[in-house]
Amino acid sequence: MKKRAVNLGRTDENIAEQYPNIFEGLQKDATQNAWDARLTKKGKDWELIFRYVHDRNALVIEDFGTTGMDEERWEQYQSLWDTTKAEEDTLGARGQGKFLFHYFSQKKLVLTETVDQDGNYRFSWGTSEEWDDEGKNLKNFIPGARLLDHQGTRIWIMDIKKELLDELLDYRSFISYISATWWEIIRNCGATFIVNFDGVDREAALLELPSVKKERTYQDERIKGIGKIRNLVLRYCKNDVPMECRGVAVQRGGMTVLRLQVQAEESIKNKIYGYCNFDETLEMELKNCEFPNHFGFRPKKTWNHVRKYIGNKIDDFLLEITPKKEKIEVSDDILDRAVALVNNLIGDYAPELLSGPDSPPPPPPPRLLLRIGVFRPNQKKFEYNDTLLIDCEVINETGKDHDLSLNIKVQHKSGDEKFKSRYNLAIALKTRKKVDIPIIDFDERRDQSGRYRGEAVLINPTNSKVLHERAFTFYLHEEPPTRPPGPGKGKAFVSSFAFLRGKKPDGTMQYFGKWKNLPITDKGVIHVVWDHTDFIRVREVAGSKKARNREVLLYCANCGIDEAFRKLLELRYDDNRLDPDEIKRIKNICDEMIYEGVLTTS
Amino acid sequence: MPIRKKKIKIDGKEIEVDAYDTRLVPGSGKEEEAIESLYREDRIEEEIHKAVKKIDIVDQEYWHRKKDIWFYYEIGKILYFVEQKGFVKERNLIWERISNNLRPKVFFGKDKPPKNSKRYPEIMYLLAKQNKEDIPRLTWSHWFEILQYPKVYENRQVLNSLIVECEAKHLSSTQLRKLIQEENKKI
Repeated sequence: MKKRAVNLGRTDENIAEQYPNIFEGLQKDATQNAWDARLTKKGKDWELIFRYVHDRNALVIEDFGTTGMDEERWEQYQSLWDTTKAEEDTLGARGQGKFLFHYFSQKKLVLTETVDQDGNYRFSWGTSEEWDDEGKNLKNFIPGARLLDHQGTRIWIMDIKKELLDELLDYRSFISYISATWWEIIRNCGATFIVNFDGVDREAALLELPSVKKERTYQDERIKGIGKIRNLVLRYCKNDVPMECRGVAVQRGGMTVLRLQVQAEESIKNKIYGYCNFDETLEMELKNCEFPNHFGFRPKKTWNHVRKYIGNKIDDFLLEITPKKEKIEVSDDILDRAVALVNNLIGDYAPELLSGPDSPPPPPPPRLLLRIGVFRPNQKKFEYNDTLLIDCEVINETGKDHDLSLNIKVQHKSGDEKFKSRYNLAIALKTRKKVDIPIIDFDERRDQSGRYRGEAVLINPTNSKVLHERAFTFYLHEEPPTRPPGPGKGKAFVSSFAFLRGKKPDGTMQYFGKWKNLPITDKGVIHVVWDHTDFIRVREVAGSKKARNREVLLYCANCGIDEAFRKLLELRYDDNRLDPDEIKRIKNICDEMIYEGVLTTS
Repeated sequence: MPIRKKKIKIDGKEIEVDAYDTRLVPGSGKEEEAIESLYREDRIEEEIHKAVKKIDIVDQEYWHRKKDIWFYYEIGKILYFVEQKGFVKERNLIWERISNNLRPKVFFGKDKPPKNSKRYPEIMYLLAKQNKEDIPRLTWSHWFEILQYPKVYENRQVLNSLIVECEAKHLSSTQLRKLIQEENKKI
């Protein structure tokens, strides 16, 4: 036996683990190999048969209308991660898919027959570790079997693992995987897929889809510097679309690589399907960032642009099909501010409760009614070929509509400007507006590595007055500095919140089970009772994850304020200053803190 | 991380509580992460309680459990939820919670768990992953020895030969252990 060039001990298992669904992966890889080898561009007379041979417990994959493997292809086929194909205009790239075949076999044994255009017959047998093509023939393994007698390839996966057999032989699922992945070549090229797992030939047909209520098509649209979208079709149906077809299919070479899910209400997104295909240049670019299992793409420049383009078009389409309504969102920075709430509020109202170093705590930022609510990058560190996506929102909490200008600038620490733009925004009263800032790419030839700063300045265009400014820093091809270890700045009352259960596993209650929290410890830890009915209620009432998180934080802040109240009473008692008026005053302070807390996080 | 028993001091008195591992540190910038992690702990605890209910039923069915390998297999099948629900990484702490905190009697026959208590549920969990036909061929103590050596039980051939030898020679678990250790060295 000839050794393969690398140690492949459990490679098939490692490869199989990369697949979200190995059965879907099996048909994808088998078809991709056969479609790459089609004799004509349109796949005339191309056919692929998946047949299970019961008495041999073998799965046979046989293609027709293909080139078969000549000497060179044969050698490549026997190798793993030979990246020759990555340079070609084919679906496969790394030749690792066939190792999934070995995974399906109990003994990892796969037999391969091929006949090339000159009629040369080749046969090999092997595991994921070894293979050979001399000294034995098909009949040594399968007595009485007929040899491959047409141009093409036939693969025998021998002795299928018992634990995989039931799911593999579920021909309905297998056919639906084929139909959902290869619908484009079935529809456009008449590609034929036959699945015969129980002695009956069944052809994979196009999935039946509900009638379309609204359709939007985009053709030959160019994404600047990336390539051309050949077709983007979005359809909204009268009824729910089958699960496997929901979302927008991203196609490459006739294969559905993934389906981008639509972010909308359940009742709407279940009725949307579509697809997107690309010109040759863009297909090639996408191939370079595709995962070897053909189930997705790496978040590299090309895919980021394509995903954003499709995402924008889906958003437009959703606006067309759904009644317009104002989206109410809670921005992330509110959460950041809310968690520091207790300490800030206590700093304002009862500073004597704070402990820690003597430096004064920073004053809380002034609350502006017209402000930049969100301004942040998608990452803190970038590499060349990564893309910067800026999330930006402007908020108008005043009682009237405003016309504003927003200047955005991204520059290197040396002063070199990377991006500069001005946006004129008309924001209705009590609303927020998302600013659509284009994707920013980094190129090794043009962009310096190091620290960059993004700045946003909100201006009143009538008097050029600066209303609000925000900024962020990020690093290109350089590690961001790490914060030095040691205690944080400023004083604090609460160092952390810990959580425990008021109910014991046997159903009885701890003696503190009806308390919201335990008294604050010397180290500033407040133990909050997680299963207190009040806490359960606030968590359940919240409609979304974001709202729920906000409620959790607010509840913790309230517990902190309750503790502050108790501590203040103790302090006043120790000072002999506790009288009914003082109790009332402390109560009022705590009420004000809670009020301020709710206001800050709402 | 699942919930754990912890001793904390309340007003100078030490008390045992069921505490979450996650802490929420104001101003750390990881508050949302912490809340999500709290919810995960809660989900794990919920699943643990579901599993414990099922374990109680099995415990009642197999009153003569010490001699019945299927008792261990059935418990193992219940513990398999860690894989189905995606808690495999936290499984050691889940075992600790179930066997030490919640049902020591079911797992160890007494209220106080032994030293290597986490191994019991782990072995039952691994047992449930074996071929059903092989299960009654050995006793619990034999399986206990075998399933402590991943290289051995993952190798179908070696496992088969051990089972056959054990059946043919009626090996004790100590004899089997020696044999397994030898095989383990060879692999």
